[in-house]
Amino acid sequence: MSSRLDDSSIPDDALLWRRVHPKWLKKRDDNSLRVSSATFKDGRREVSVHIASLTTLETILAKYPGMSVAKITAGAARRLGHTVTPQPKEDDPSHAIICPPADRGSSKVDRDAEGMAAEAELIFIGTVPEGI
Amino acid sequence: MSALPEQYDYLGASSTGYWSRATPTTYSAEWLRDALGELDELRRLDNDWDSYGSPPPTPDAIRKARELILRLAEECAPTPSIRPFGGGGIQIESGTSRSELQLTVDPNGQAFFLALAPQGQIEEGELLSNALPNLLARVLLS
Repeated sequence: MSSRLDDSSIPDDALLWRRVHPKWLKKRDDNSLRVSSATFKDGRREVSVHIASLTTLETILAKYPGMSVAKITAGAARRLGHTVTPQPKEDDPSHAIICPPADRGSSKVDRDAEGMAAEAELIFIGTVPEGI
Repeated sequence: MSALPEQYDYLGASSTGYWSRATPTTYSAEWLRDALGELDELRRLDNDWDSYGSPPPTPDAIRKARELILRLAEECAPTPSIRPFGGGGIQIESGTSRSELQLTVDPNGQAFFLALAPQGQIEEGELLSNALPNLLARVLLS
């Protein structure tokens, strides 16, 4: 059971973009950057993303200097049992949300967030805090 | 300012609420002052800090995160990373390049753990009181 209906019109290979706050960046051993699982956690159990085919990086970053952007596929979220649902906004027709099943416990949702973070790839790097 | 007993560290930061006459220096891992300072910064985040309409971390989340940071210091844990997440929660990560303990504090102050071991094994659950030392030891020794 999911808190939202999955929209199959969004194919599994559809790219979803998520703005990444500087606090969510972390370094691998080789000093390359990746995202922390905090990127894909939200206490409201809805993670906002943008359907890449419906927007541009410039558009989603226009009001948010300093943010980075990560991409994952819709299929990566679905393989963890999450739904992908369009939720267009007046100023952002590309907006969508990733939601866990309604009956999934918090610690399992945290594990899913780690799974999504492991699959995510940074495609634009904004401000990188010192000392991360 | 009056003199304080030797075992206490005042640090003059009473306005933050994090250090007080009751904060023993036995908790003072090298990173502790910075970590509590970072936590104080999170409290001052604006609404929509994440660009997706999130409120700043809730007082309950801040309170629980502070408690966990002090416990990690007491256990001489590696320097933690402290991150806000959407909806008013806080995540604390501590570990090595091979393994990591993630502590998630929900907006309501409830805490959960995720232990990431080197070969990809993952253990998760609610963080029970007094479980932190064993969890940390398991992660660091894995």
